[in-house]
Amino acid sequence: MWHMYLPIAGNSVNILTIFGLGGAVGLLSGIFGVGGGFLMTPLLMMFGIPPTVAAASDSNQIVGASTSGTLAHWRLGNVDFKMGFLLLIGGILGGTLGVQIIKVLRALGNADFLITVTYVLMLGGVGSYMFIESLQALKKKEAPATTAAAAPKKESTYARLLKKLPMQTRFDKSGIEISLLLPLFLGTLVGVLAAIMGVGGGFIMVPVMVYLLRMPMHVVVGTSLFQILFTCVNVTIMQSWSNHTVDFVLALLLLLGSTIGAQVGTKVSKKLKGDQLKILLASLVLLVCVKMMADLLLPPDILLSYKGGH
Amino acid sequence: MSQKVIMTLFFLFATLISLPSALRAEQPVTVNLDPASINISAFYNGTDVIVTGEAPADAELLIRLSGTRHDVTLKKKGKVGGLLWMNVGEVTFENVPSVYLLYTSKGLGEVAMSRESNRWDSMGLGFEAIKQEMKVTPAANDKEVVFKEFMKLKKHEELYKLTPDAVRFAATNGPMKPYTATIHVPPKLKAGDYQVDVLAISSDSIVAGPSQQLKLSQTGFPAFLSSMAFGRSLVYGVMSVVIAVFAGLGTSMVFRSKGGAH
Repeated sequence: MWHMYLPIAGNSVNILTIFGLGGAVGLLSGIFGVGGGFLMTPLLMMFGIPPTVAAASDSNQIVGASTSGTLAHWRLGNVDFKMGFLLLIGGILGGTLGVQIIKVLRALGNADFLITVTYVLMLGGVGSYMFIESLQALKKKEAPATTAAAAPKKESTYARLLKKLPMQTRFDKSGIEISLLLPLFLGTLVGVLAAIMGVGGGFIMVPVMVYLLRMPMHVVVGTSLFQILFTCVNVTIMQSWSNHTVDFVLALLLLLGSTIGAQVGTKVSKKLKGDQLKILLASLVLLVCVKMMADLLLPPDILLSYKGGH
Repeated sequence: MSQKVIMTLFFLFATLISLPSALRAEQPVTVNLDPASINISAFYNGTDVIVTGEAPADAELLIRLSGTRHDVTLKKKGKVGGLLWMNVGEVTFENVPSVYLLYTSKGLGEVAMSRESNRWDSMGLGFEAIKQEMKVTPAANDKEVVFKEFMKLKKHEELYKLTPDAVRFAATNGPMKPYTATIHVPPKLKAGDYQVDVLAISSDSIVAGPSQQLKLSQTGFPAFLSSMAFGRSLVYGVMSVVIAVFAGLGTSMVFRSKGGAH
């Protein structure tokens, strides 16, 4: 009696399991400002959901979780809407561009190899950098940590270059002044990468906002969720329209858990310092990286698999 | 005497080549499904179908539940650069059943699970039959190797499965004996028509009962959602998003009122 049938996935699932899964991933979402697709899709596949349905229904679920998370972070003053919109516009441009790039790459052959290796290297690089940087910051700062990002000692070449860009604008919530073009450009870049890697992009976007836009970590989490909300609205509608892969029953069971998880996650996030958040996220990124490397290096149990998913 | 041997061989040959619909004129195997049609409703989690009937007293039984034949395209993993396991292409399996569930009586199950399984395979009864009837493209693939992996995947999903000792016999009643088998229909079987065949196998012949249809159909809420998702996909997508947003808003409001109480 604790089972519900998923009409699009064509299987039944235990209600409590899926509710719990939603809660756990929603929690991560609220704490770190990531969508959690990297975790959710493989877990759903373990419960017998086809990969394409798992990925599409997950994006429907993220719409609920990120609405919940964005509102919670907004109440804490952690959402920079101006920045979010610029990144979003860039993201949409980048996503469209990325889809075309991947067609070219596929035509050239060996694209999957290139993509997978780049992705693993990127996760490893970003994760390690974030981990080391925040560890040093945690050690050095005796005084209560401000939520400032990288705390640069000297004006770097990067910082000087940024000041020379046209259309300098103040972003009040983030407390920074940079060119309008920068978030547009970086948003595009992340959009391209996300489209090529076939992931949501939260993992790439968060470090980009912290290190390249130099936004405070807490604002990064809230703004990232705001952006993910719109991306996932788009993905959900497109997937149900052209591929019929959104299972609403599955999404509903998941989001009952994840909307609550996102609220709790926001509370946890609020209690942690910026550097603590960064080091935890870095550990998560490194874990995903190790898992992907293991998948690449260990011989798989079954050499065949269904198409779709991440 | 030789005439009798020839006749027996003839019958065996005739039934083998015309499987699964081979019927002897007198049609000694009877088959009854209860229920013959299954409704998939909101809380459906698979169900049991009871197969009953009569078979020749000396026979072992095989019940086969199979789905429609179709083509499946899968991603294939291979070693790249001698080190990394990744997707290296696609393989299409043509004319394979979506589902292939076999249930046997104890004696036959022992044959199927034992080293004698060659005999079982050569009779075209086991999974080997699928291999003989399917086609693999691109043809460059080693059929034996990819079929082995295909079986692993399907068995892992429990869509191809052999359940030995599933068919029980009651006391013999003259030349016939009644049988009963409980077939568990897993929730993974999608709506559609499936075929149930009962084969009575004795030392000198294989006799098939009449094929029965097992119908699975979505009803109520699942049926409504499926028709929306496929018939009005844009509305369905927008609706899914709107409900998700409201769920997020709702939870957020509940938490705020809670937060205010502290």
